[in-house]
Amino acid sequence: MEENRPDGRERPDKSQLNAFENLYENFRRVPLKYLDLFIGLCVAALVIVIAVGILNR
Amino acid sequence: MDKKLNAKSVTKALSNNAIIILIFLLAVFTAFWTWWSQGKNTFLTIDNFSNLVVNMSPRFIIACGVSGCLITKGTDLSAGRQAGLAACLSAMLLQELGYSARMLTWLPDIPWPVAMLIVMAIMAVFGAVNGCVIAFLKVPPFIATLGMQTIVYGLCSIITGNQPMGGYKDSYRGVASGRLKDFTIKFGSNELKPFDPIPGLREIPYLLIFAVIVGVFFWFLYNKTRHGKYMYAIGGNESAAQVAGVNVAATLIRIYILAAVMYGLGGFLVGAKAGGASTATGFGYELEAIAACTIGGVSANGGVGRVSGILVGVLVFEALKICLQFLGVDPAYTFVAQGLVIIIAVALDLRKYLAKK
Repeated sequence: MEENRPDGRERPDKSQLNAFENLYENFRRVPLKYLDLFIGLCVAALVIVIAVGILNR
Repeated sequence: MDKKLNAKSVTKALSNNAIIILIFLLAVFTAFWTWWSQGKNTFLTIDNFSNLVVNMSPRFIIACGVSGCLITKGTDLSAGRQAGLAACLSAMLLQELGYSARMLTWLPDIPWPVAMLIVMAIMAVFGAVNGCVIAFLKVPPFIATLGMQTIVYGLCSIITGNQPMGGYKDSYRGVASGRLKDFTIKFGSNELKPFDPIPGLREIPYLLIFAVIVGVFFWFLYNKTRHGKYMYAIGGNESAAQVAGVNVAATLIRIYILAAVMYGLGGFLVGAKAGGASTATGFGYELEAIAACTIGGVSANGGVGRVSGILVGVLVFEALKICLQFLGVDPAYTFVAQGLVIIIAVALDLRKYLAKK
């Protein structure tokens, strides 16, 4: 049975990537909806931090 | 089909400008909050806007410097410390002659433009070292500039003896506090104030003029020169740029030198604005500059970025700080909020990268 490996031609050579791209490449299999969820959570956290900051002044 | 397309383009526009929209909503909320809590609008005023412009100007200059590094897939973590060193050097060169705690007692009185050029020239050396290490030794910019950050901080501590400096000449302080109405041309014993009678121009701060000159210079450099084209080519694909005949090493060195010169100018202005300098000056400026660039659409993946975007990024970041200040939020919470904005900006950049794949 043949092993199912990703095609090397589809992936950029990691040695040619900078630190950010290498980091970004790690997320290539993450669905966009999860990233959107993360961004949404960060926005919610920002709103909460500002609200708590106002209430604690 | 049209509906689908419209929905898609609206989603794209929203995600591309999410932080700008968020900060705009925060500004609107702050305006209402101050109006409701104080009974009058103290937020949307000319004075506050002028404050915003004065705060933005040195940061915009530093962000312009960092943008070149980011566009070529690099970064510069030494930006803040270099700006701090520039502020300390400016302080040493421009203290009052009669100031009791003067650092360089042997130094004669020198005009501020000469001191500014000296500081920028000294900072260019640090930029050249950064550029050479990155271009010739192939050290990742993240590591090279992190090392330079520590070196510059150490040097700054050594030359200042960890003492805060003050006692600036009036002419140096005037660079930050002055407005066009103060601009004077001397003809012998006569003095002419050419901008004083012009209502629209007379209140423009000098700092804004520095920022405008730098902005126009960078716009021209990025859009109308061979250097700008090489820079975007390297950011898009370094190997392809090299094969196409671009001198990658020389371009990278020029970018890092120019960046350091901008930190020099930014630090000079920060020192003038603060009225003093110490080893703590410039702390965290590099992250603010990188964040402002990312918010403004300069991709950390390189090859993308415009001067107008950097301006918007700096504006958004400074607006966030001013809004939180007006809302009375504790500075500790402000740092948390700034950190979250940086994370959101990078996450949005990552989203753009993944959506393209």
